[in-house]
Amino acid sequence: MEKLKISNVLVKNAEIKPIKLKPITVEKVVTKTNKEQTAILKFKEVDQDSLRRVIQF
Amino acid sequence: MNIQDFSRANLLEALSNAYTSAEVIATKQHFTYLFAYLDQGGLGARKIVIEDNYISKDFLHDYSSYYALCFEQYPKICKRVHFFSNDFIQHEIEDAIVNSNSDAYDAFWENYLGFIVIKPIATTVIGFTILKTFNNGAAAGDRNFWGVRDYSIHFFGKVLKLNSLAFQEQDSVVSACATTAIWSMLNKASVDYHTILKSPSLITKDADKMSLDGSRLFPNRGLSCHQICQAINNSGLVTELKQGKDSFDGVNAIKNLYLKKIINAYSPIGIPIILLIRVPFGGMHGYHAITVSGHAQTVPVHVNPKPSISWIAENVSKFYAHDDQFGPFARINFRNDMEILTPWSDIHATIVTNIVIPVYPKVRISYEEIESLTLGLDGILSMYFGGKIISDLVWDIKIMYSEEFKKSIPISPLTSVEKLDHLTKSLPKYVWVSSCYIAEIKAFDFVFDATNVNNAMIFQDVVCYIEADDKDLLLEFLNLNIGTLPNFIQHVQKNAYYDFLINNL
Repeated sequence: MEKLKISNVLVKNAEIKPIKLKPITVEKVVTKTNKEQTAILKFKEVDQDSLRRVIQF
Repeated sequence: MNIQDFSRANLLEALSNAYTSAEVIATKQHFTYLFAYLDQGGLGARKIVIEDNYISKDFLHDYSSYYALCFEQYPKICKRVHFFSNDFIQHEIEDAIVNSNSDAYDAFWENYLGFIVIKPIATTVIGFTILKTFNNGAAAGDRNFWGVRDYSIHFFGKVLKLNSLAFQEQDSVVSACATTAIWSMLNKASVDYHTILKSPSLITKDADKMSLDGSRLFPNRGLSCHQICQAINNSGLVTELKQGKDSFDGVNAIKNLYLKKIINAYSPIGIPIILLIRVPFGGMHGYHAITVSGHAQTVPVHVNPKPSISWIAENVSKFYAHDDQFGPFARINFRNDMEILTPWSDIHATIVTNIVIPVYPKVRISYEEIESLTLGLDGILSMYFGGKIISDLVWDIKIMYSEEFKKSIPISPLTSVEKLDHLTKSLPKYVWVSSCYIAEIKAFDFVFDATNVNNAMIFQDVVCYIEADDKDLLLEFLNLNIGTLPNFIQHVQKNAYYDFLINNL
C-alpha cells in the first residue's frame, strides 16, 4: 500500500499551488458552511411533545 | 426430546401451547415471519427438536412479578424449540448428544440454527429466542451485524455457540414494544460489565412508577420517549436522543441520510440503536420501537466533485432490526428522502421520528459535534484542492475504541517512524475518527476525544496518508491563510483547532 500522491488525482492539466486566498472568497463559503453546522447541531434538540409521545405498538 | 421434520404444520404445532392453539399461532405475524426466516429460502431448517420442561430465567422474572399472582394457574415451565439445518433420525442426534465431547460430531453441531422459547401464556408465546443470522461480514456489500454477541446454548449437555441477538415478542402485560426493544439492546450492551441485563418487567418498572396518563404501569400500554431513556439510564447506559426536523405528513421525521450517518457512525461500538417509528395501522398510524443491530453497505463508487459534502454513509443500503411484532433481523430498506420500508409498510409510509442511541457514560461527545467539525475541515481542504481533483472529498465519521483505531495503523502506508509516533500516542478509550477519502484512497484520519466536553479543543491526532511533498504544500497553504481559514471551524476554540491541525499534520 502506498501513500496518496495528489498528482495522481488531479484533473487534466491542473496544478495545486499554495496561495493566499482573498478574504471575501473565504467568507462566502464560511457563511454557507456555518449554516450547515448550525443545522446539524439542531438534531440534538428534542421538543417536549415528542418526549411525552407514547410508543405503544 | 421430540424430533420433527421442519414443516409449516410442525412449526405451528411446536409454537403452540395449552393456552394458544396452532390455529391462533397461524394468525400471528411472528409465525409468518419466523417460518420464512427458517425455511429453505432463509436459514434452511430441516429438523425441529422440542425440549419440554425448560426453565427460562427471563420468563421466571416476569412470572414472579405478574403471572404468579393471577387467579389462573399459569405454569412457570416453558418449552424450547430448537432448529437444525441437517436431516437426522432419532438415534443420530442421541449419538451426537452422548458423544458431545467428540470431535467426530463437530460437523453435526455446525447445523444448529438456534431456538425459540415458548412461554406458557395466552397468544404472546414467543419468549427468549436466539436464531443464527444470515451471512455476516464487515466488507462493503456484506450484511454487517454489529449488534450481536456470542451466546452459549446448553443443549442436553452440549454447549453450542451462536453469534446473535436475543429476541422476544412483547406480552402486552409486563412489556410493550419499547420495553422489548430495550431488552434486546441490553442483551448486547450487558456484555460490558457497566450494564445490567434485566427482564422485561424490571425494565418497565425502571421506566417509571406509573403510566403517563396516570393509570397503572402493569398491564403496560407503552412507554414514552422520556421513559425509554429513563429505563436505559437505570441499566447503566446513557442515551443520546435525536429528533427529526423535517415535516412529513404533519409529523417531524428524520431524513434517511441522517439515519444512515448515525447507524454508520455508532456501529463500531456495537450497542444496538433504538428507532422510534410511525407505522401505518388499520388506516391510521401508531408509534413503535425497533432495535437496529446491523446494516449493509454497497461498494463505494467514484463520487464526482459536487457543491455539498459527500459521505461514505450514503452507501448504507439497508439495515436489520428486531421488530417485536414480526421477528429478529427484519430487513428494512430506504425509500425516498424520509420513508423506510418495514414489514408494516403498506401503501402508507413508515417514518422514523426519533433515534435513541444508548452509549457508555464515558462517551460525552455526540455525532453532531464531530459532523460540525468535519464540515469545517471539508471547507478548509476544499479551498485548497479548489475543484482541481477528479473526485469529491468523501468523509466517514465513526466512534470506536482507540485500540481498534490503532489496529489500522500498522497496515497503513505510513513510514515506520510515523507508525510508531501514532501508535505510542496516548488516546482515550473512545475516539471519534473522521476519515477523508479522495478517489476511494484514504487521505487523512482526524481523531477526536469522545470523552471530553463540548467546549474543549478535542483534537487528539491527525494521520496524514498523502506523500510528504504534497503534505508540505498543504502546510504552506494552511500557514498562508491562517487569518481566514480557522473561521470554518464553528467553535469557540477554532484557533486552537487550526493550530493543532498545522502542528500535527
